[in-house]
Amino acid sequence: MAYSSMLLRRLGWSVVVLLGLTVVVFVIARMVPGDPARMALGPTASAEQVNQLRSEMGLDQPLPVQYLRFMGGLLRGDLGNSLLTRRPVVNDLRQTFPATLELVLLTVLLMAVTGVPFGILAARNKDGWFDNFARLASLLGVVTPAFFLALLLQLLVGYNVAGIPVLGRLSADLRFTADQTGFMILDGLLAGRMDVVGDAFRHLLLPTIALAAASIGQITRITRSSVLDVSRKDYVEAERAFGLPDWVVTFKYLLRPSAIPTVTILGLEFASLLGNAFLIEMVFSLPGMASYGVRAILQNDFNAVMGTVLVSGVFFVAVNLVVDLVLGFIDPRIRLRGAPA
Amino acid sequence: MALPAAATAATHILEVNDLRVAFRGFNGRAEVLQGVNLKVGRGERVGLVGESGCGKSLTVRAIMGILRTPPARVEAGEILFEGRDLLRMRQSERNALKGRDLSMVFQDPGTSLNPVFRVGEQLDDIKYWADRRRGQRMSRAARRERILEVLGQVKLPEPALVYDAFPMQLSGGMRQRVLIAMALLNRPTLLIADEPGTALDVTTQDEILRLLDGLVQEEGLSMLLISHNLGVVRAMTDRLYVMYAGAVVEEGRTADLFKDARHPYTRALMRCVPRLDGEGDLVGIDGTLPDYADPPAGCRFHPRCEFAHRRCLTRPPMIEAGQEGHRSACWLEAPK
Amino acid sequence: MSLPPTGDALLQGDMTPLPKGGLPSTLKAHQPWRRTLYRFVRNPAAVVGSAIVLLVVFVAVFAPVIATHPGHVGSFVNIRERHQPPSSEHLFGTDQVGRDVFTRVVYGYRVSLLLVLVVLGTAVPVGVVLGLLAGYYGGWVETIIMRVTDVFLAIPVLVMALALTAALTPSLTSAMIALASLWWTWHTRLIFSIVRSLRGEEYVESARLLGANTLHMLFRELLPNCVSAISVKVALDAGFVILIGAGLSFLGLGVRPPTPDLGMMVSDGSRYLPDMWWQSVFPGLAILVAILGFNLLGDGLRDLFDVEVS
Repeated sequence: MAYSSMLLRRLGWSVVVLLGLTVVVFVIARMVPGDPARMALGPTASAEQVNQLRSEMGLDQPLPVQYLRFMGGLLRGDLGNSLLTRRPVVNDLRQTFPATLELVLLTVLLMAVTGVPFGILAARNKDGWFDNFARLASLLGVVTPAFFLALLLQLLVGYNVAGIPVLGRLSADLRFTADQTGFMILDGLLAGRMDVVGDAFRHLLLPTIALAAASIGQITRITRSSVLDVSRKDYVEAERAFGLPDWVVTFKYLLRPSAIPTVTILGLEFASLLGNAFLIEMVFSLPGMASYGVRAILQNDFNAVMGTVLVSGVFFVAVNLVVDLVLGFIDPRIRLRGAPA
Repeated sequence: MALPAAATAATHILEVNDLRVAFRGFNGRAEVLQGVNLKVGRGERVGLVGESGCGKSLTVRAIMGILRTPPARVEAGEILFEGRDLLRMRQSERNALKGRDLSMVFQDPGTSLNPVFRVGEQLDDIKYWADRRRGQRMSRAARRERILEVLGQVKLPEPALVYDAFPMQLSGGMRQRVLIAMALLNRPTLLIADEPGTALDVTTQDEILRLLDGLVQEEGLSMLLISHNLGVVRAMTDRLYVMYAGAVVEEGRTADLFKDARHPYTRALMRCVPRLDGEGDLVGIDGTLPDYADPPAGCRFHPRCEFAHRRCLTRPPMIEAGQEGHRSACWLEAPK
Repeated sequence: MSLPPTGDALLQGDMTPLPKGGLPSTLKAHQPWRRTLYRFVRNPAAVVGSAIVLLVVFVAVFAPVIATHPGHVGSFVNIRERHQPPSSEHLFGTDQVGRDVFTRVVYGYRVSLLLVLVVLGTAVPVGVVLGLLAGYYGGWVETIIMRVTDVFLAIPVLVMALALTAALTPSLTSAMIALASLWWTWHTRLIFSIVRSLRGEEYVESARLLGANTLHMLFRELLPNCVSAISVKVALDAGFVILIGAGLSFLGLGVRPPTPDLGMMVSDGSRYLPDMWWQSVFPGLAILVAILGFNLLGDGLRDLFDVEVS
């Protein structure tokens, strides 16, 4: 019961934040210098044509009106047309977002499966060889820029190890498009094409590692310190004093309280993956939303830019919301009080 | 040389002999416990007093086996429970005793309960594992019955509600009662109470202490009560140990110590307690506890002692003083 | 009970009184700053981190002296010397137009540090003041400030920075503006949470009761308590700014050529992988080292001050 009221509060707050996001995006898009209509038509178009397009696009209206038009379109699912591709931005995004999402989801999986156990083991091995190794690896992961790591991986692994491709999403000779869900691996499975699945995996291997590295480092550190923190708490001492076996204390009574910072950081890292995904997609030439967005930015394709930023923002808010809800489930203090102790 | 188990078991339920615990810290090695000796007889209520930092909590943690062993280390000594040395036992045997025959009421109800689990679940686990070690198994319902029974024993108003509650939904006093219930759950023979109720307001603390006293008498438990509060100790113990800076400085029957304290530290402590009849001044003791990494030579109290003399640079042993069982670690008691 | 034998005959029975307070201790007096210094030196992260940071700063400041080919910083083309691998003459090799990579890396640090100085120099004071105000006044001041902060925080930094930088036409200035306009939010949130927890403290209450005015409260009572958290965050942030700044310029949204910029150098060089690897690897390593230094320093400071910084 406390949980559902918390859920409602969080949901409401997310809506507010999303509204704020639209305002911010709108303002930024309008800051782009130059005349969008002119840019759309090119330098050869006449002034009349430009003006006509301008009024069509509603650029001659006062800003608040433009904002309302923008919001109206948004709610209808219309993000305008891309100046470059001349197609609805929504379609472009629908095509490119799954590729990015696929990369991001694989990365999150890798992060959770590597970072958390590493952190727990490092805590148990405190000051031992594994702990020191884990801390060093985490540090290196955190301080290495993702794009640099991507290049290094290409250099050291991609070019030297056969079978691990350096660029792209799928080998061209396989002749397959992911048109069902947009997820190459999933679509390959659905179509029964295991060669596609394997190939897609191999293409995603280096990008995933490059994208995950920094996050794995953070997660390992936070998990480690959180486990150490909790194991110092009085109640753990008390539980041991009452003769609860070590493994019960570790895997039940230690895990849940220490999961809280870990889930928090997992969520934070997940949500911010999108930023680094931009860089990774550029390096590995993956046809995702990120490279679409970057190209749009460089070419002043502001509808596309707004669309990309909006989707990124929505994704971010959605992930944060899910994380908050999971945390509320784990930690009764959040549920009952609305904030962690 | 240790006496045969049967003989010692008959005399004392707990015996701590020459316990030395040291810490490795910033400034090197700090020997905190200098050779602590204490005994608790069957059915006896024994008190351990001293100011904060004197090592009483450390002693207790060593007894319960919950010392944080990276910084702390037991360097010497033995802790005999019913004649068996806890320090030299196998880990599994020691675990079997914990929470069962040897139980502890923790000090801070705010931090001694796991905040993300319900009270009932924590108690249930404790009972389950203690039973398993004994080779017994109770059904979940039967365990719940027993837990509710104990929660009632500590005078919690609605045991069933408490069972389902999270710690933060309970008041401090209620949580402290839960901690006592936890300690009593498996019918221990020795109960160690570490400054129970100090984290609570005075009225609640009083209630808790009365409750504890009643339960101890009711169940016929032996008790080791740790406190820095002389008033509490006077009311609730038969025998008393006074600790200072990692060593016992005086021991004896509680009544004897209050009437005729011998060690300068104990006497100074007694003077610190204000009297209801308004007589006497409020006197503090100059100085503070020594730095354990760089302690004074010999008797650790001598820098603060008005009777300090050159002999005090050698550590005094426990010397008989006055009544039977009354001993003080001070050269002043030595025959001149 | 008889006395145990003592080895020292002098001590036996000697009743000479000792001075009050006992014999003097051998340990030095403990002064607080001395203790901090002692702990700092013992903390490997802090020491190594500050060493690296000092090195980076030194290199940036004395770039003209350290660089081997200062002339290569501007528009310089020497086709005959292009794509030279690392050698004794060109420590990091040369790039596709013959410029010495080492020189450009050294000068590249200037850009990175300038970015850090400007971004943090503006964002931190703004963020701190806002956080102080929100935490101290509470009420609708708090609501407005913190809600706006939350909205800004809801947007991933790199995405925002990309959008802003692009909107303002890519240049170093626009990158600085873009980052600074987002960065204050973290400091606001940090200071706010510290101040809010301090609000109930007694010394705050007593200062207020004694009639301290608002400015005094903010800057003499509350702010000093935030200093350690701020310094940890600033150190860590510096590394983060460099990271994001490098990302931005990698995508072509930073400094305009021919000014050397580490991220841009990595990007330019990526075209020539794997053969002319030195063009990308050395600037990349330079970025890594700088971030490493600030990160270690921040970690070390955090251990030192025993502070909670998210």
